[in-house]
Amino acid sequence: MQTERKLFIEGLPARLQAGEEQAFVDFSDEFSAIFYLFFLSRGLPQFEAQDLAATCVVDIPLKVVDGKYKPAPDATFYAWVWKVIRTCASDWWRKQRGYRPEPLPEDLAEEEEVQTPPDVARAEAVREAIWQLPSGQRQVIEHYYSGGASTFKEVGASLHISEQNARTRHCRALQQLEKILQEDPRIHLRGMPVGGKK
Amino acid sequence: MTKLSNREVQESLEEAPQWLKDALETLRVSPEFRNRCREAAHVAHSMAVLRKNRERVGLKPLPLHRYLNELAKTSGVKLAPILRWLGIRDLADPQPAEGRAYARLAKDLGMPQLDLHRHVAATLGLAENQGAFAIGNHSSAHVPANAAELMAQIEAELSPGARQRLQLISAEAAKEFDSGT
Repeated sequence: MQTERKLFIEGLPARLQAGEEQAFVDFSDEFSAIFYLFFLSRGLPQFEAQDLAATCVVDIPLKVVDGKYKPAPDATFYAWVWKVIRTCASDWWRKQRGYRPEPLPEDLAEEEEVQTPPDVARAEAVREAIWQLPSGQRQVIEHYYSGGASTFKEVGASLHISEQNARTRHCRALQQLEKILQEDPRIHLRGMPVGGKK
Repeated sequence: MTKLSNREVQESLEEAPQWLKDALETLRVSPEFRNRCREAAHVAHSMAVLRKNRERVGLKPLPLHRYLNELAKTSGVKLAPILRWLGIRDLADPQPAEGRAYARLAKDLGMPQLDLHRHVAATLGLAENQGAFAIGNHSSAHVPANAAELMAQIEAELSPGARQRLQLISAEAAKEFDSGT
């Protein structure tokens, strides 16, 4: 994972345990769309995937606050989150079949070689690339694609910049992202069609 | 920053390769989903704050709604969004159908299963005016040493109907506590 994003993610547990409200929001902003894509890739119906993703936005930070995540030199918070998410998806299917959910693993997640679904891998590649942008461009991209803004006017209003400024930053961001991502093999993986409504 | 003309911006957008546009679309979320997850984030934070204070406060001989309202007030958080998130309609009127939701709330607040049972019993007892005088007199400033005993007594004095309701709620709550999640 690219360094800036890695530092940001690995810094989340301490911020969550300190009770910093923005940390809970940052966790949601960073992971909710990717959680949704993952649950879709696991065959959950759209509404259930959305429901479960939102539930994980509550449950995972609370597990951190509860001390379920314990930092260690050879394991990462990022890997632990993914282990929890995979368990959530499995539990969902177990419940559908009338089985008990499996207990949440208490041990730290190691960096396992687990195949990531193509759409999730692509989304992760994009998130890492966005983190490499200058902050002004990153903010525009995040507001326009995952922040709920549907026009550059709305993006500008959210960021207190002009619409033209928002458009320009977006344009420059696209140019940068193209350079960063064009050699990333994850971008050209194929999974489910893009654009499923969330 | 050098400003690009509208034409230059539009041309750049049109020149962006389709694979890049498709890749960015994977992150696009509907406002509804985004707002829901933002709400979830704030609920999680509120729960974390309540949990911390509940660990400090411990058990008090209060009906569940009074206990949590008092806890929320001293914690400076709003309880309504949490209850809405969990699908709990009215803490003062516990229903068996909401047993699992009560258990989820208790788990997230670090409240033991037995304490939840006691608080729900006190709520039902208050509704029947059982021990209402005793409960009402226990403000947060004065915690009797026998809080657990007092609540056990209130439970013992519940009417058969209320006791059955308590058992149904606790049975549903137990499913959530036993689920291991």
